[in-house]
Amino acid sequence: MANLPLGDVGAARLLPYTGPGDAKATVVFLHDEESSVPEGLLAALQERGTVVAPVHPGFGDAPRPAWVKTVRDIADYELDVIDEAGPAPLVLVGSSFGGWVAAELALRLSQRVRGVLLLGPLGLHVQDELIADHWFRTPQQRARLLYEDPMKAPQVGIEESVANDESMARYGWNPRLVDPALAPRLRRLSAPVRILWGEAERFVPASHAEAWLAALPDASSARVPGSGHFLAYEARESVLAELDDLIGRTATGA
Amino acid sequence: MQFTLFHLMPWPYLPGDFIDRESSAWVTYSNSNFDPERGRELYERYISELVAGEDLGFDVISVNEHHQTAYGLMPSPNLVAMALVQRTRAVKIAVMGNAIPLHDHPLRVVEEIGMLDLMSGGRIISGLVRGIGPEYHTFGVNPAYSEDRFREAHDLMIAAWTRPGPFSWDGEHYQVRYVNPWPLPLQKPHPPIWIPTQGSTSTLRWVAENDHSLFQTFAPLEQIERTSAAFRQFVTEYGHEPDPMKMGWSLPVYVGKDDETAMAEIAPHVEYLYRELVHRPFQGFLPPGYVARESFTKVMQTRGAISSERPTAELLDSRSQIIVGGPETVARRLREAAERTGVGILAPLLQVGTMNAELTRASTLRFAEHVMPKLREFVPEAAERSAVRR
Repeated sequence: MANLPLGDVGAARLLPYTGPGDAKATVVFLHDEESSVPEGLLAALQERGTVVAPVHPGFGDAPRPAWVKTVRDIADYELDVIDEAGPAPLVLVGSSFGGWVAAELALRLSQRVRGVLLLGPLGLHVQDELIADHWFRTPQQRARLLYEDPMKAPQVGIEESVANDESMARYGWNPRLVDPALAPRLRRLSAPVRILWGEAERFVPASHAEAWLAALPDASSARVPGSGHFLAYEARESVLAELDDLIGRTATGA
Repeated sequence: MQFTLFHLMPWPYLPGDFIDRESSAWVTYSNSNFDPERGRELYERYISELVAGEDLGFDVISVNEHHQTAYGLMPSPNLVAMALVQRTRAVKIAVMGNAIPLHDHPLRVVEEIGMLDLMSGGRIISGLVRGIGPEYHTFGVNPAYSEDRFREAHDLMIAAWTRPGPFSWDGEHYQVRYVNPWPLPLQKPHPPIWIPTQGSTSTLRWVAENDHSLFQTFAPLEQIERTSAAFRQFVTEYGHEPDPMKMGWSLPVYVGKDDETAMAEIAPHVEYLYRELVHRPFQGFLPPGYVARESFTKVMQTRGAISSERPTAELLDSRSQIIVGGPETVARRLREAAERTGVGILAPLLQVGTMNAELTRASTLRFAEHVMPKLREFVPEAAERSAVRR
């Protein structure tokens, strides 16, 4: 694991390919609000390609420049990080909050994007279909809302979870975890997008799945059994199989 | 010492099985449980209880601000203050809102405090607060910017009261082309500012730096003492003289006929305040970003120890988080507390939880007639100075 010398670009990780032969892709992983560095998942991604894994400003131990206040700002900020990965076509994988960041990045990276895999993405506003409130709840209620099996939640330290929760609030308190101006822009995201939802998803209303499909030119979705909101932790094998499929479908032949 | 009659205007009608049946007395407890007829009666009664403070000799009567909760019926402290202005002549009125980050716009508060001060003949004390955690759920205001917004709103208010207008304000959270409030308050440069707090270090520093009055609420005596000492230290560091009359402490007080009967009389009412009325998910009290990360982490690490203790009246009394007893005992304990803390303004909450009008009147009368006179001439010295002299 190598930390990129990124100056004021902040915390990011460039992780080398660990599989046999040549890397089949450059994967940009946009983390969720549960863990800024989900080690096991990143290792599995490395078996498929070179991985760029920025830590969003304010999450984990990443600094946040004062001007970065919205998810759109995060995307603009992380363009510099992604440039460090070189000119290769990119596969974007985003989990929950990171799915929202991935959509914004894909809009900005445009032709460089081979494909996008979104895992229970936040960010899309659907009138009167609010993402559930996980904040005015006890930890037990929150865990039951977010997971089918709360035991599968990643283990993170108190300091990281405090930082992540604060950052989620900063970017998404109101309107709650959505950007009303995201949907009208998604028509410009021309790369293939695959969207996965847990069958036991209780956090994001099912109507959001339909809304993503309606807003994107080339998207498909699937519901994955055995998972609540966080497929990255509850349905990792399915996620990796879908990623392999996306990499295969979008192979550039290079 | 000075005496501030404090009131929360609680909703006393939560059912007996409330804790088991409901998850919170804040934010989510349905307002279908609010009975407007009872609400009308409560306002009339509670306002009378505050107004009575003037003839009983209190220096200040005080209102506060909370939203969407059975804890208190004063979402607009300025409206209650205006009712008090109309029914009193000389007593000062402390507005222990306004929760300036919750509302757009701070200049509206500048205007309303100005109006209150003029119509009261300069009797207003302007409290400024951030609003507590649950209120960030009721208004959708982002808790991660709460402290920043509070400080900028404060700076804008002070500027609006002290700089000739119009001027422009180019802030991070507020941008105003023309700041030029009409009317301006009667008191110059502006009404005294009291900052209620639970005592985080950054707030103490800020209050000291700005030379405002510190008003501590509802904490055990040991914490009040510690916070007061830290505050005096900061006041000195910023080049001001520590002044007991710029330090206040609010706590529930019950004055019974004698020590033997007092605890039994007050216990259910105090426990209603400390159980039913503060019932809510802990996480709702501290929304993400509401306090600095380091403080948040510390709270998360120590939370188990705090929440496991059932807040009985005896336990609260043993920490002097409330003070209960006959008149002699209450006077003695308040004097000792003032000596330990160096606090010169006492703000007893004399209507507590479910206390009815009769019980409230009796305790308030005993406080005014038998406790206040014993402490009136006493001015605590800053605690460490008196320690040196001993």
